Amino acid sequence: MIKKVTMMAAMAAATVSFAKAQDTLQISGSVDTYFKYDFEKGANIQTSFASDHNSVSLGMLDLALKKSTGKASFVGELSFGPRGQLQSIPGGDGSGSFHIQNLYTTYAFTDKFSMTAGYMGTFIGYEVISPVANYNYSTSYLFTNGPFQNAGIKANATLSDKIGVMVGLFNSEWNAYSATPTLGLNNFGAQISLAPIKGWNAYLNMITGSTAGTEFDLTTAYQITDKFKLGLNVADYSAAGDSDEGFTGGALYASYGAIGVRAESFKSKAVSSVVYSGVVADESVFALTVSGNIKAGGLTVIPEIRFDNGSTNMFRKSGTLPTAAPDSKSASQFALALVYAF
Amino acid sequence: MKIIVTVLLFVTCWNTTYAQDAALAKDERGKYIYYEVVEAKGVARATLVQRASDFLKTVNKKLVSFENASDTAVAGKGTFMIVLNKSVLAHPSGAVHYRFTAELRDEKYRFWLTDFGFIPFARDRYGNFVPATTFSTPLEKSPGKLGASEWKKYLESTATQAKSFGDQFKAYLQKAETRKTEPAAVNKTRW
Repeated sequence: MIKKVTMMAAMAAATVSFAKAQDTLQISGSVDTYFKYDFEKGANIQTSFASDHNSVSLGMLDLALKKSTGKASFVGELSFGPRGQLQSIPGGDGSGSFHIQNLYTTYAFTDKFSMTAGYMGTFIGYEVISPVANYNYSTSYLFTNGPFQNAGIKANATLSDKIGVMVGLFNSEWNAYSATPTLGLNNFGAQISLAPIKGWNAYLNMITGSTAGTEFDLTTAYQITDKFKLGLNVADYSAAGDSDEGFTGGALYASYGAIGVRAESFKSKAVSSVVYSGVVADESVFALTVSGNIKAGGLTVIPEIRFDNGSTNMFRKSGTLPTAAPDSKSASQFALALVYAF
Repeated sequence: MKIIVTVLLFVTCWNTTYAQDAALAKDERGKYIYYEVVEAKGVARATLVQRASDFLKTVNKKLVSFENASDTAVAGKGTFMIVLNKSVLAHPSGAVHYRFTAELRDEKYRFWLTDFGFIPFARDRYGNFVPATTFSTPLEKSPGKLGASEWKKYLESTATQAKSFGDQFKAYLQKAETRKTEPAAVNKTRW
């Protein structure tokens, strides 16, 4: 009997060693929940997520799988909850089982050249859907109005330690699992990534399509010291066939240890028929967000206060019905978010 | 009863071994260090220097890379990946960078790994784990109460990997593991 136990222990140890030696399946993810209080007692600021007033509400449960075997790998990322469904992905309003944030495969032909196909988080912009990768919990106007995901095929090349290039063809619509059949992959996207000095990276991005329009984007971040980081996002979007319809803006990010600030200026272009997160044609908004990042293991507590000030009335005062015309130039809110990454 | 005692002994021994492995000493600068002095009877200094240089040049570049060598010393730098959950469902939590130095004499040598610095990893927009910063935090730096338990695990993982690295290094210098034996060719004509 003792021999059997010893044998089993040895076999178990050997199994563990063998498993470690294989390419492991990585599982990671996050959960997030928040409380938000808008000082005008309504859902005033219309950027993505953290939308509910005076409520402890759900963000999402996010689960990501990754596996590499030799030169091939896949990533599948599923999300459940408002942030991961109706607020960020197509068909997520309950019309079907749509939960996919990322679903793609990559083949690395060499250490410096790879190709990827599938549905991917967009390469445009500074902020992302996952709250783990953002310093602030609420999001910017530039994030909300840019693409969230792009499905397509892309090639990544590393030219040197300091320069990389990506080019790709993407489906006709942003944030869509499939293309319009008559249009196909009619968005062209490109990215030049630069790392001039230690801690500084910059991405020059562009995506253009005959129906989705054209967005130019600069995203850069500089980790100046171990605590102090500066970031900048500047973007210009023109709707298809009309450079006077769209938006333009810039956001500056600064963080020092556990506290960070985002200052954003966002403007809707002169003849825009689309209202961009409450910003109508030829109007603009300035938003200042101060957030804390208090970390305890995998948990990040994010207390946040935000002030938005428009060039015209674009928010509603307390008591004004959501269907009534905006009657205030400014809005402010407090949020407390809990984000756990694993 | 015998079975219970055996299992308990097995578990206790394993835990004791693990605890001994998972501890780094501190040097005179107050920096964590993994340090060993090894006897190599019958092996000349020049041979040891050559073998140590070869080791740094031939093992996995992600683990360690060669920097320089003199008549009596070899130096390199490397990285340990920190994966806290050791099951098959694991992902990297970060990386620990370190400096490696070996000093070699006739029939003995010593080596140490030190200047450990931790860089946390975060998941990017594509679902890949990448360094969250370019600045590493020395392992000696106290993370405060909130991150203490994670930090302790980083230290333990670093110590375990340093020991494993040391074992590989010693084995290479003793030439104990050099030749991979390939299965003999099968001759089906003679049997």
